[in-house]
Amino acid sequence: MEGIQWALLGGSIAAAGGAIGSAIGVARASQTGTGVLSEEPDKFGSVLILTVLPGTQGFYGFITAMLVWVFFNLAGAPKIPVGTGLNVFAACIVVALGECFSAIAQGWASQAAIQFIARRGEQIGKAVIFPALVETYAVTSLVIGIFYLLAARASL
Amino acid sequence: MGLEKSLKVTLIVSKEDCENVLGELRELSILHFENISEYESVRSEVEELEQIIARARFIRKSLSTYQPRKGFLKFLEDDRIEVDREEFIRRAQNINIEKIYTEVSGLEEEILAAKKDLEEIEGLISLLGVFAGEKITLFDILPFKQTKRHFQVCLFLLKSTKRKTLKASENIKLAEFFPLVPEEGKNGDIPYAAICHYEAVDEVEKLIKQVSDAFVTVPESAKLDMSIRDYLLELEKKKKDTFNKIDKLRERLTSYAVYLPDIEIALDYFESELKRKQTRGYAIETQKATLFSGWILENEIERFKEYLNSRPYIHADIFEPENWTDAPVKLKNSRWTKPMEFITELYGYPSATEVDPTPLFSPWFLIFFGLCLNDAGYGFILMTLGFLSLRYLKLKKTLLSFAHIALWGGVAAFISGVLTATYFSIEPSILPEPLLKLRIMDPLNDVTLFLVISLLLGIIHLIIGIVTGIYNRIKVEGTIVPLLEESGKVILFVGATGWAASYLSDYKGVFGPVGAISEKMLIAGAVLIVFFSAGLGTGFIRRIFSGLYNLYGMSSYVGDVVSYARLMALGLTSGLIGMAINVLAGISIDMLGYIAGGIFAVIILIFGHIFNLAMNLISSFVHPLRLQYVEFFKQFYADGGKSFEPLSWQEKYVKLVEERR
Repeated sequence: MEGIQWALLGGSIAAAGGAIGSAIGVARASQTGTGVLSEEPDKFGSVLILTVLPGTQGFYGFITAMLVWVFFNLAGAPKIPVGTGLNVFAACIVVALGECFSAIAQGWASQAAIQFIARRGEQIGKAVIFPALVETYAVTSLVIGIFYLLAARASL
Repeated sequence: MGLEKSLKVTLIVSKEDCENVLGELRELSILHFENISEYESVRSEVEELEQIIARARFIRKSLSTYQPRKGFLKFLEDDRIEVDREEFIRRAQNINIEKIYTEVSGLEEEILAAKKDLEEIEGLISLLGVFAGEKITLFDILPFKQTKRHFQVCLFLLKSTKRKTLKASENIKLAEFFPLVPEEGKNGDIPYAAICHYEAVDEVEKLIKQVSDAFVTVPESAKLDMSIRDYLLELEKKKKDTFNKIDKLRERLTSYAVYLPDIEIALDYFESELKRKQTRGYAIETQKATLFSGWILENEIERFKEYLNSRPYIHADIFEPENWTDAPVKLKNSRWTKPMEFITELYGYPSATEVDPTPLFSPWFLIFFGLCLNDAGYGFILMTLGFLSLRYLKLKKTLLSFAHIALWGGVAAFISGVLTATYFSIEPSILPEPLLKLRIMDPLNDVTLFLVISLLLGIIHLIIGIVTGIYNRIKVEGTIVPLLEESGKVILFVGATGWAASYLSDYKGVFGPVGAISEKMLIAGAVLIVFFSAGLGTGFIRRIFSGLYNLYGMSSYVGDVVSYARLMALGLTSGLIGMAINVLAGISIDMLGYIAGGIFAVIILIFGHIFNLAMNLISSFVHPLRLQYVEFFKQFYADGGKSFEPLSWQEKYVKLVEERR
């Protein structure tokens, strides 16, 4: 495999990892959310916020794939050495795993938070914090991924 | 700015004046009462009011369902009924809640029963539909030939995956299960019948629910000797009649909507009465006198004294409490930071001895919001929407704060977007030159700089939090000892930041001397933490060990600072998703040409950017919120306070105005 193929594979895995994790996380939160809404439709706003929280990782994976595309001008059929391609792949793996698992975990946290606001609707401010705590690790994966991509670009 | 302090009040009133005095104090809306009674003296009266309120709520919920839907803008507006006090009380007392409740609940019950009938009819139609083409009767498919029944008959669709479950459980006494069509060779769901004695009905229904999603009980009225085809026709007619019946019942229910405003007025009135009655129950009573305890804001004392002068039979004392932590507080902020008070309220009120965090975090919240959204185009849309809604709509109270955040958060996102030349994520190379001149950073190519800015903002934010914590302690303890105990944290923090900057820049240029000073600050901060952070009151050896532990604890700030990296991550996210939308629009023009492709491109751009804005708005609100609550507040804020809630009229559905002349 050539460098560009490693880079493309990495970008795809990063985007897919984030998307899979987010899809599972959002689906879990949605399950609980729709259950709560069937009893209390007035809580739609709060439930929506908590449901979409695990969706951010999908975008983090997506922007990693976009950065690979922008940094290495993939549309212009560039010549990327195999070593650089592998560096890009390594950067993307960090993001893919970090985003995928953190989104799934955030889905659990969101489920719990939705159950919390089902009983104490006025506590949405506190409820939203707990799923947001999980996202810290999605951010750290993304930041490391971006730095590795910068290093890979510098090695060109 | 900050908190309005409240002082303690005790009030002694004769028993017969008690209700009147509470009514008058409700008009003044200046006293927050607290419960000092150990038993509930007004239980029966409270229960009576609670029942009236529950009925009024039921009527409101029921009638609101059949109200025409409001337009979006109307939905945003404050649509409370404006009435003067006299009219408010008159309308609330004149409406006959009991009578309306009886009629409305009766209609609701009829609708429910009709809906249940409809479900049964539809179930029968669906299950008997299998035999629609055959000239057979229910007699032919059911194994009994008598019209007077002592058994209940259920029809259900047995799920193909549940055949074994049914076979394993069908030995229920007094019940029999049999397929209505030959089972052999059938792969899908099979129509089944269950015949059971009335004693076994519950058990049979439980089993059927396990093996089927669709089941129906053949009603007593079903004519078993009629051909199924005719019976289906009759059922269709019944279905139509039932629909008509439901429509008519709904129409009748809708005609009660004229009472809705008065019901809402009554709800506010009786909720206020309930509050008054509960307040009566908070008091301690002797045979003749009643003792109330409560709180009054300092700036309301004069009004209260004026009232007391006109009521010489009330004895009142106002004094400073022994324990300020019990005192309820009222947030008092300037018009700039007032809209952000709801963020503090969501977290929890400060106690009377704490600082109100609202003015401290407000500018930071907006800066972080702007950095997360980071697009001049989105910022412009948001501030325009915020401005227009504040200028031209009479917004609901709960939405006012959001409109202000949209306005000022939009300004912050606009500025951030201008400084990074991000305008709907348009490729910078095609932007006009003057716009590019305003750019100080290209977020895509200067990712590191973006990250450093985010972390630096985080460090300043955290230092402000720590300093506020020190100020808070000095204020409460009345000594500057906390300065000695806690200042090491700030010095170490500043030193570590300067040292990290110097180290990363290899001590070049301005960072050379900064590095040298920072190293000294690091050492000084560490020494202060080790020797003083555990408190001057503890023994020397214990203080040193605790100090070393506290020094180790400083490592947690690394995690706090890294958390601010989300500002960069979210700022990049909005731009890159916007870029992908623009690329998609470009591809549609390349593929389909200027006319068809152009139309598609416009659709992609409009819906794509609306989606991006909506998704990023949620993130741009939630994450700055988290940075305040988790990273900033923990440096100085404990919450645990109570909000000052004076006894007053509830104005959820009504807006009380001055008497109309």
